[in-house]
Amino acid sequence: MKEWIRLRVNGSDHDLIVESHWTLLDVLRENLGLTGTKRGCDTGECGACTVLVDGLPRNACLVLARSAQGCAITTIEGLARGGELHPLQLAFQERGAVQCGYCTPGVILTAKALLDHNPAPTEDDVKAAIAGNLCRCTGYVKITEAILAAAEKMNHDGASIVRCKATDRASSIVARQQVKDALSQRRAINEHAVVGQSLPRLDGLLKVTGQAQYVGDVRLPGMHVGKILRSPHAHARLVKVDISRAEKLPGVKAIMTGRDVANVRYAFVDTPRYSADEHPLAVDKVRYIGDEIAAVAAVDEETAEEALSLIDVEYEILPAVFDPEKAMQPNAPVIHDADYEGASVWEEWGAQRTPTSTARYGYNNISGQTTVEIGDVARGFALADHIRTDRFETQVTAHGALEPHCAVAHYEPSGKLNVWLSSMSVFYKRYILAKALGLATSQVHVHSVYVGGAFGGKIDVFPYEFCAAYLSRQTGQPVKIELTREEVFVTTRQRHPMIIELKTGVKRDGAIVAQKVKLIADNGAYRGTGPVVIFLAHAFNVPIYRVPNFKYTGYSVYTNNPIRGPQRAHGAPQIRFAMDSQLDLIARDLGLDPVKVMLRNAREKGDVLPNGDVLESCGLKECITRAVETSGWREKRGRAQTGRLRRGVGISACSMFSGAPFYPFASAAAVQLHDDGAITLFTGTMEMGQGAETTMAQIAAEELGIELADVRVIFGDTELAPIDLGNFLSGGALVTGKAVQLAAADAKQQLFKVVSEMLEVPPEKLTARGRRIFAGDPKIGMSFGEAVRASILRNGGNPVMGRGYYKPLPDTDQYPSLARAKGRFTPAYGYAAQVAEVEVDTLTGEVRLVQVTTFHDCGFPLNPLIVEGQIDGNVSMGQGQALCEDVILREGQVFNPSFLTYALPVSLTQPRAARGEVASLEPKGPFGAKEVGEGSIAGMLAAIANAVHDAVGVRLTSLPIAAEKILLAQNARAG
Amino acid sequence: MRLPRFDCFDPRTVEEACARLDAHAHEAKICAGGTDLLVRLKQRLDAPRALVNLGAVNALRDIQFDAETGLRIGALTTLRAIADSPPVRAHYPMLAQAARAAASPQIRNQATLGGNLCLEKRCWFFNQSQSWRQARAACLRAGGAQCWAIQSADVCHALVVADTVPALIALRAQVVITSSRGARTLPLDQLYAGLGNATTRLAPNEILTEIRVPAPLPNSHGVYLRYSTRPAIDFALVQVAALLIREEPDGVCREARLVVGALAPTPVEAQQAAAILNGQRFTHDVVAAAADAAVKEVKIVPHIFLEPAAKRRLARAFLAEALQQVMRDT
Ligand SMILES: Cc1cc2nc3c(=O)[nH]c(=O)nc-3n(C[C@H](O)[C@H](O)[C@H](O)COP(=O)(O)OP(=O)(O)OC[C@H]3O[C@@H](n4cnc5c(N)ncnc54)[C@H](O)[C@@H]3O)c2cc1C
Ligand code: FES
Ligand code: FES
Repeated sequence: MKEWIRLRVNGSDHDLIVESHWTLLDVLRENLGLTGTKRGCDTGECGACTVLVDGLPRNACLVLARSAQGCAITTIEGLARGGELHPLQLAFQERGAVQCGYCTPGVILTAKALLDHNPAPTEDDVKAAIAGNLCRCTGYVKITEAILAAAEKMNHDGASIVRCKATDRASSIVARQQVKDALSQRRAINEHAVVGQSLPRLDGLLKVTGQAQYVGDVRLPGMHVGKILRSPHAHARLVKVDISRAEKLPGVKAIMTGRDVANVRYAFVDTPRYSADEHPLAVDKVRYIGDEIAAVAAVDEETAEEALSLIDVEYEILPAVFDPEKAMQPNAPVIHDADYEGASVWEEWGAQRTPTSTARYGYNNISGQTTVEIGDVARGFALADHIRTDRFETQVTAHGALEPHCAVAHYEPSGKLNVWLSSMSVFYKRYILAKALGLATSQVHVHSVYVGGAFGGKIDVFPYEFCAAYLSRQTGQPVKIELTREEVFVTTRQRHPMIIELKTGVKRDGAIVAQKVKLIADNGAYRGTGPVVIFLAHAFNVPIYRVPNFKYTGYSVYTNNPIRGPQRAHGAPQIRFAMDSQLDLIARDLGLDPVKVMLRNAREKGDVLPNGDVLESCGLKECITRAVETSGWREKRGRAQTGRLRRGVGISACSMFSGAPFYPFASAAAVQLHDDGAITLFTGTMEMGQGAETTMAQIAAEELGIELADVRVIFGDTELAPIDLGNFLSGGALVTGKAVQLAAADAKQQLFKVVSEMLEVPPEKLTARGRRIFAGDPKIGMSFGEAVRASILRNGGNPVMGRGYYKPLPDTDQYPSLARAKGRFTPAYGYAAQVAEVEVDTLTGEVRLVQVTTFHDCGFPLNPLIVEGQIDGNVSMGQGQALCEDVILREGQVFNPSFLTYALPVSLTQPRAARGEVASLEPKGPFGAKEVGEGSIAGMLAAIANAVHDAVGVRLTSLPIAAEKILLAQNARAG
Repeated sequence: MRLPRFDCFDPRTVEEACARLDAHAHEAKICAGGTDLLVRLKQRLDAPRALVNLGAVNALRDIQFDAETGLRIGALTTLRAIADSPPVRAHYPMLAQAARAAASPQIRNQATLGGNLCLEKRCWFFNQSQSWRQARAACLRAGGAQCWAIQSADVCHALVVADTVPALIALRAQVVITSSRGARTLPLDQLYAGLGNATTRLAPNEILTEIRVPAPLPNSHGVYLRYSTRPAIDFALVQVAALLIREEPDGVCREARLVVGALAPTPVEAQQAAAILNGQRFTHDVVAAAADAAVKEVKIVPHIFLEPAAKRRLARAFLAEALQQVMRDT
């Protein structure tokens, strides 16, 4: 029923014609273009769509637009009245409370309502108020701090508005400057002026005002809506897919099925050994519940959905298998029966496809195997004083990025494809999409957008992205496909659950002499990153302890479960959980302090790993000792307790790559120097919350001796930015950062040449700092802008541009072998050690995470505020994985595909965070920097499991550590 | 995710609302806060032709307290208003606890008490999206022939999980039900239909208009606790409401009311456990015996990730905790 309604939004009245079934969220975003109100779930579970209705926070996705008539509605766009930022907005940006920014508008509005009602809230009040706003990036730590700080500032100033124009760029730079001045008092003593400083993020203002654009916010004229039909069966042959009824539905513009794209095949892993096994739409079989069958483009969402229901599919149900160990048995149903042959998308780069055959592994349904042997395990065990064998199991977890995956594709008549994607590497996606669509790589233009959290879940090229592009080509119109939250949970990859059998032999003093690992990773219906995760589980583990005799066998196995893929620290949390849980048990067996055992075995700077990687920086031991000291380990460990609430501490360590060599092999960057002394930095990196835009700008500013505010960044765009590896395997800081530094250095050399001629001093004597270039005394020299202008005039008008590139491991042209773990892996490893303190309620079995102490060796913190934010996010995700997150599967069906039923941590359970950095200064990294974004999730699991054991004597070897499991174990112990 | 199409009516009085419901008989649904109904519609669990939106019926929004006659709450009062209401907090703290325990702050700003009491029963096999449900044969609740929660059952085993229900049953609340033919009053525990598809005994043209709670008894104290994976957003996996009336000055228990929710299709009042407490002075042994007895009285429906035994252990723990809290607080 269409009707006129009048909505009062941000102080002005809007008369609109709406359908009675449209929600306030639909109307704000689609009719009023107020896209600062975000859609995270559409079912009232995440708070991303929070708006104020008569001053109270409500989820706009559960309010009918027509029912909001007569109410005063405030959206994030209405908070900066007359362009003046609200103190909350400033505090969020200043204090690092913004990462991906997708939750930010909702959280800020919720906080505003709190402060309006309670101007002096306590920390607990704040946590309770924002309990309905999920944030996956920050662990709520800096959000809570920012809200308290804003409250204090408002009470102090007595004014609710500070002077600062949000909308115009020049004054937003002023705002940044003000913020920076405030922070400069806190600056660490640091030989650098811009890097190493906790500067507010460049994207902060856009995000706190709701102006940052994500894919879902892209609106093009004539845009169609795409939807995907998915399999309700875990394993079935497609007998018939009949679209004739759906095609006749008015408003349907195009329909595609597997038959249209039967010869398109790609996959994340596409090597000579493992050929690609995915089609954009199922051709002959469906292999999991959610497998894509057909896609529709229509004039609106309602029509697209109706069309899906009119497609007739006939299935022949096949026996399915869901347990990886059962899938390996000889009589198990075979999930991929045909060997895949044909050209690889990497052929142009020298890769050949060979037929995949699972026969050679001796088990069924094997999608990958990694075997490593070092030393002589049998001899090693013979030398051991004590041997333990344990079996650990980890659960399936979800990325839980607040922004649902979305793609917009617009095919131009010229043959050029424009796409906006939720991605982590625009160049990787461009390559695969171009190959799959049969286009030249350069015909695909991936446009820059902000990404609302990724955590590994936005790396792969997904069928919906291919379908959006294909349907746009069919219709000649732009097509948008936004996944529902359920589709995100089920079809965009999950973390690999693993079964890890671990046998370890130690000497009496805890020195490891031999270790044998058998690991099974269930990669679901398609290979996904199966062979990668079993390789990485080894590769992220081997840099921690010295193990002279070591045997590792990892299998990745096909089942009819949803597909698994990369998730933050890909493989590390699982193996680190097993290793450090067992080490704690071994220490108990031997009556030793686990910290001593860790230190006894820990690697050091200078160690050479079995594959040849050299640890040129390694702060592992220092991380362990400092985490132990800071956390109060000695007083807290092994306390004798009798009360109902008992506390315990546990420790674990982890390590992570800093980039690795894969397509496009290197990251490049460019800078253009403007004649006013500002610069533009061009980089292909992605900004998905981790702060790349800001840290890359800091690197360029430092190198050129200018301020952060002088740098404008063009990022994540395949036409505007040079090639980049993208943001996985944590290469951002080291690899892209190095390229940026080199590009800036290149430009600096050009300027120095000119300045040295003018000042008649050799270039080596020049310094760039404080926006000046000078020799010795800053007064002798010229401003950066003057130098740029001089260079232009003296060089025939040639503008100053610098370029740089960096390839991880430049001397190796070979990828590491996934199957043998041979060949170099990464230029440098980041490290972390974590101590968790828990409180277990012996009556209810509930575990409360009290405090987490993380010491992280990221080489050098380019921006401590951002580094802290990354650690907070890792701690929170680790907490979730250890205690409450669990994708529940029965017969391949996900029972909790929602934020209501899949339990991301909420503000109320946020632990106290203590974090510290160990600056090991990696020689290869820019200013000594290396990885920080992923590693420190991996130490959380064993740290918590060990802490629970310390508290109540209960050992859990399977995750998550839920209350009911503790009760069960306690009951069993009580007999 | 778009809502399905429907017509929408906004009556301003209860009479108008009743007339609308009569006119649209089985094709209309009452919408109060809409926090549950709109999700159900998005999941296509319901497809009413029309919504009768009670949002404009302002007469149903207030809370009145009188020390003699007790508490009267209009059905449209939000959970937030109840949790923050001074008389509720002072005289019926367990109701305030229950209202604050539900969902999230945003939802409590919109969710109504009437909607909470009429919240449809939930099940892990039913409260899912339309495409999700297509992966299995329809269950009894969806018009099929089988209960997935208990596969041998021939009747639906979905659960009443609304947070205010156990607390209000323990408080002996009554609900006023209005239709065009007049009003009737029902003790809250009799509102629920038990096993089977229906959640309440309301006819489609009836509106729950008011909740009445008797005046607080001297020396009585109640506690509401729940277990859920997280302390916000989630529905409860276990609910316990414990109310004790004690005799002064010796503190002997005169009457105990223990209501356990989210374990069986409707909340269960544990009579035998109450009998154990009655006439007793509180010791840890008495508490333990009562908690043990209470969980034995409930036939627990298996949960998708909690075995009945696990739920029983948790329920026992939370009952013991609730009783201990009552002891501590009084
Ligand atoms: C993310 C999320 C988490 C939630 N968590 C919880 C939780 O922890 N605990 C909990 O109890 N609930 C929870 N809920 C469910 C729901 O929000 C609450 O139960 C709420 O109180 C329902 O009230 P409402 O006014 O929004 O009801 P509505 O959605 O408007 O209605 C609910 C049902 O009751 C009927 N109804 C409403 N009012 C009347 C009336 N006066 N007379 C007759 N029938 C009526 C409607 O027809 C409908 O069937 C949650 C919901 C969401 C989305
Ligand atoms: S989008 Fe509305 S609560 Fe998540
Ligand atoms: S910043 Fe909160 S979800 Fe990303």
